[in-house]
Amino acid sequence: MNSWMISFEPLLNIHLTLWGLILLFVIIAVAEWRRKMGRRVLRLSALLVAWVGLAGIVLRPHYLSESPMPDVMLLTKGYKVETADSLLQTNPGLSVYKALDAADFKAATDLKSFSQLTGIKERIRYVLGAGLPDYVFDDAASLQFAYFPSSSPEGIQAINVPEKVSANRRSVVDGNVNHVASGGMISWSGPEGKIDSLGLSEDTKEFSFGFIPKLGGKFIYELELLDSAGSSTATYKVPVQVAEERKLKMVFVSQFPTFESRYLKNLMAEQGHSLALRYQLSKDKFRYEFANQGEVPFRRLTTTLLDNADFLWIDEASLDALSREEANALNAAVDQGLGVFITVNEVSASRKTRRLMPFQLTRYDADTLSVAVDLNRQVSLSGVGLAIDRSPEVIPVWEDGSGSVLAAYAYQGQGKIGTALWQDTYRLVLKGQELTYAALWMEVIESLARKASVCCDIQVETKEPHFIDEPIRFTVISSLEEPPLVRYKGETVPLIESWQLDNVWSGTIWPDGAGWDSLFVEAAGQSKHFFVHEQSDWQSVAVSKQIANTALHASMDSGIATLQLQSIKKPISAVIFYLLLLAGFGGLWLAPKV
Amino acid sequence: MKQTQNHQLIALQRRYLMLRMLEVLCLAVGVGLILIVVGEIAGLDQIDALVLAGTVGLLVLLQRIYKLGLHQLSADRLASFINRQYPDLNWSADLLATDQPLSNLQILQRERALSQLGSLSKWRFPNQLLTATLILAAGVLATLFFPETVAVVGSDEHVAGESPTNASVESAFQSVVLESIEGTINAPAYTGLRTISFTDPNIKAVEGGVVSWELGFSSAPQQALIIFSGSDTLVLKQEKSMLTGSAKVFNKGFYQVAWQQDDDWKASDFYKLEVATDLPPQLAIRDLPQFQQFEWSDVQKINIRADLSDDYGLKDAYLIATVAKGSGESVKFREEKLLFDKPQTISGRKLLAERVIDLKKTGLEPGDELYFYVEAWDNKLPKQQAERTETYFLQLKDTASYIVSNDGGLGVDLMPEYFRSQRQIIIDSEKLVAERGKIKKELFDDTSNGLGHDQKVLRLRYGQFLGEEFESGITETEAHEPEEAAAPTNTDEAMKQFGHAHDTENEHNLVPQKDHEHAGEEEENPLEAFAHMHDSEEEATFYIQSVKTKLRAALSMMWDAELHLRMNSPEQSLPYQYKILKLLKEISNDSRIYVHRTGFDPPPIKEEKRLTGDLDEINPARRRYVLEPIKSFPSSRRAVVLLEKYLQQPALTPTDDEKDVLQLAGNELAQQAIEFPGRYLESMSLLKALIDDEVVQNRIALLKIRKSFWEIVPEQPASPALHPTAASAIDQQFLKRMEANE
Repeated sequence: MNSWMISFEPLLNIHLTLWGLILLFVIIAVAEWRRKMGRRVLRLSALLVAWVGLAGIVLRPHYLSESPMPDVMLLTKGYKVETADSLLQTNPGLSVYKALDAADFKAATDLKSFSQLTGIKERIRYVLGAGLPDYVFDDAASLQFAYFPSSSPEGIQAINVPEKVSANRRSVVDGNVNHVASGGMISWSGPEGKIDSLGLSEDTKEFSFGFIPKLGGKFIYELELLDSAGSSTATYKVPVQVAEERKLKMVFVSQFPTFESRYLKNLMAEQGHSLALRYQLSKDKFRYEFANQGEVPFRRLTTTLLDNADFLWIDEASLDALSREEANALNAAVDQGLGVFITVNEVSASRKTRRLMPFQLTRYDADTLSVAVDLNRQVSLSGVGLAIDRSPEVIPVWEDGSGSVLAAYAYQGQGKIGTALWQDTYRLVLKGQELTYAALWMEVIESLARKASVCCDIQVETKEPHFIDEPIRFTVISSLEEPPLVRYKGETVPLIESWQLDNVWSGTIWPDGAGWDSLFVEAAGQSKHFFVHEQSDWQSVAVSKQIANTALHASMDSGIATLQLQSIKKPISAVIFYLLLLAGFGGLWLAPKV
Repeated sequence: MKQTQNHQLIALQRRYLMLRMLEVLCLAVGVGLILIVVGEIAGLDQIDALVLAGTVGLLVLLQRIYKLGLHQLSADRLASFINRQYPDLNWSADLLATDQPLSNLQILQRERALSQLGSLSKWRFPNQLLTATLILAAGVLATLFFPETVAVVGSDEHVAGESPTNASVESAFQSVVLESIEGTINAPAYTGLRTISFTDPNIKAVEGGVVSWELGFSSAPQQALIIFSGSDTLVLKQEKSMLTGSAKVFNKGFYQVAWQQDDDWKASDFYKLEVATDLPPQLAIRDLPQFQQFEWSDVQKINIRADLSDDYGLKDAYLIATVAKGSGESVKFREEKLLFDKPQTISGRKLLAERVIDLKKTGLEPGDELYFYVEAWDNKLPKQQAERTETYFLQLKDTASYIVSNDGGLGVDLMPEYFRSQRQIIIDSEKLVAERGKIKKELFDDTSNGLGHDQKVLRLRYGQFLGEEFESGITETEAHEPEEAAAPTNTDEAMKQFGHAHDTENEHNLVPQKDHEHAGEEEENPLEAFAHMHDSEEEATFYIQSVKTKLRAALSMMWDAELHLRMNSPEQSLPYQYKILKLLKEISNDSRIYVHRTGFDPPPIKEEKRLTGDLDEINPARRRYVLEPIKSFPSSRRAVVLLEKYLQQPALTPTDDEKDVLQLAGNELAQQAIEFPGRYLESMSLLKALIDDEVVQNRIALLKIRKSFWEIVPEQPASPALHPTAASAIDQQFLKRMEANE
């Protein structure tokens, strides 16, 4: 279909050319008019025809012509030639493009990088092979193509590394593995050397390895695939960032000293946490202890004391003895984020009403509890003879093998209140199980304790592994009025605010070097570290991720029926204008002679 | 004639050639030497400078030879040269060179030329030998002026004479290197091991063995030491070309060689020093349950077969068997040392020893028990090591049966059995006194003697509690009891029948060779006689002094009580018995007081303050303390982080500060290496190389060092941590809305 909308593409400036043509025509026309010759009209007509021919030659008029655009078949690494051949046979008009690392194909145009897809993205109808990286789909939500994936690569397909790894705690790295030969092995090693290994069979699809880092810092662990002869076939770097611990501020309030409070207090003090402890000697006499902090007024529970604390350990008798002001201060502090642990014991187990307890406790005739603290190793604890009724607001911290809740908490405002149904856990320390004792209480205290409020929190949205020259998207949640400043290698990264949520910003960086890298949030004074791999690392994971991601964006229908039209400017043939010029000049030459 | 003429010309030709060649050589070598020095000054590598100088020198040589035409020097050229140089020859030198037949005139002219030539031979050929010699001299001087080039030119035969000056200069610039560590290990004589030579510095020696080191150095250091596990040192002595030293080794660990050169100390790698300790003998009794019961009718011989072994040899082994008879107060023990039947002499490293015990011959009766264990001694010097097996029990089942009943009035058996027993003797004695005259005298005497026997048994039991034994406590008293000898059972028999010199409560579980031990201890510890000893049998009781005195008095009275009972006069015995009972009661009370005293002894309280509940003067206790987490191996923790950095950035090298951290971490590792030298020595050597910049970092070495540091850092209890969070506006609004809804 053609459109007769004329446009010009003059050799010189159009205004200059137009004015020149008009001036030329006027001068020649006046001169021709003044000539004392007959057939003036004929001569002027011939002059006009010649002028039109000249103008056509100089102005080069074009008209719009619409024609259907050829669809694109994109070949990526690992595509099947037979599939490409049959698609081309079915759709002979397809333009074929191929990625640089894909095998050669007849008449295929090479793409140096996927950024060259910009002009042809909408015309992609078929994608074959390993697919397209995630960022290609960023600004092309309306892509409609059919996807013929290559087979999944051999080796590790996916790996999950916990984002937060803490020292002296067990963490687990797991993942999927594919197409591995029987008799091989997958080995997991870290700073301590080889940690664990798993024999592989053809049925092996998943693996999981645990590790307990002893120190904080940034470490590279390694996964290694070994064949049946014990030779390494692939090595994967696993970056692990072990967080440095930030200490808590705790308050212990007890009606009378118990071994339970004493052992827990000692452990926390030895670990460097700030701690204020009070227990009652007589009606008005108290004993105070302050570990790793200065003395503070602690006669009563005040807002100042509680707002400054992250965690409160209190027994039911002390709770009952709180004055109205103290109770109000405690409630207000919990609303603001304080974590409260209420200890119950056999004596207080039988009471019907409980102050501040956010959930229902019922009598339960069992004096022994069993909990798997580490690696499903059951630890027996003495119980207080109570059970926690499950309800939506109850968030369990520890459960036994049958799913009964042993320790739990519930939210109140921003804070949490919780309890545990065990007693005399200090016996674990006496039995030499200090690590188990610490792990048991660590979970409870950490889940209850106040979260440190920071002005900005940065999260890397792009899943690991990250590669050189591939984008990493991150989000910054800020409580500041002004936009947060995020720096990457000294440069400020431009951020876009979410159109849905206030103060949620996102940005993208393109790392250009391998190794540990970081984003710096200026307002918080903190860095977010991440590891950038070489392009050659983690290929099996990257390809698997790419295949899955491309399949997600692909449609069942290639959309080849909805042809796209292409509008092309076509020039009006210059021969016409030369003929017109010739005819005009001929007319002017012949007119006096006729 | 023709030959003579040619000979003179050829001699001239040779002379000229030699002169020119000498000149050219001097020039080439001189230029070469100067170029070497210039190259050194310009910073060229020694080899490069040598190659450059050699090449230029050779070019100069060739150029001069070509230029002077020495390569094509012929008689004709020499002749024409002579003609040009010496007009006196009238251009006739050609006649001397030609082989063609000459005319008479030519012959005449040649004769004249020959006569001229005689005087010509004394003349000097033109040369530049002086210049060349000057250049050579300049080169030699320059070389000597820059001594570092001497080593390079040392191989040059033209210049490098083996002059003593050069040799001393050379050695002054070479560092002393430890070339070899050799030596011998002499195991202690009792092990029977041969002397072993070693060339590998990682040594494995027997405990108490003498290790002699011979260290070879490239040249003698000022001083050399062997440092053991970073603490003890052994100064090495110069013997001929080697440095030697020897030490007796008792503890495992590691060592390194340190030597001093120019007041600078250098140290070698770390070497393992493993010490194999002499283990005590290993014993095992074959196929015998630890506890066995027999019926009286089934009593049989028991074949005891024991496997005995020791790493360096056994010296002695035997069975210690104890027969226990009776029950309650009248338990009697008899202990015997039984030698093995086969082999009769114990020696060698491993053997099977056998002994058959005939239970009947040992005098076992129903209800009796036989306890035995095997004890073996090895040949270790200076002090032998002993080991014994568990105690095995053989019991003959009792044919009698007992009924156990409690006294109705006494719910708790508070008093020991022997207290009641004295009371029982009193009751029986009183009863006997009351029956005097009513029963026959033989029966009376027999009963009285029986009571005397009971009294004796009681005395023996109390004597045991006081730590008294026959030889120290009783024999003395027995000397005053002549009737004891006349009694139906004399002391020796009593010993055999009722007790034994070694009788103790825990007899069957203790090594009983007291006599031997005492002898051994006396030998070993001459100070014993002068020291305050707690282990004397007199003092080795649980009783305080007053109790002991009373008990001793009671025992003394028991002798008297027994004496009168034996003399068939229980009436005279009774007063003693009453006193004994009284003393025993007092002892019992004293014991209670003693227990009471161990409790809390409160300070005296003012009577007016008691029970008033006045706490005004009691201030609240406040305690403040800082317990920063004590992290063990702090430098090793920092070193792990540093090593991780080097692993991820291989181009990095340790800075001086980082080297200090690594050095401190190495010290921490050394402490562990003393315990486990095989595990950490390699890492220590690699770490030393890393600190000294001796090796380029390589990944495997760094991984090994990091692994060692990681291993020595202990696991610690998990600690709760504060986690940061940023609240977005929507969170805040959500909470506000929730509160509003509540």
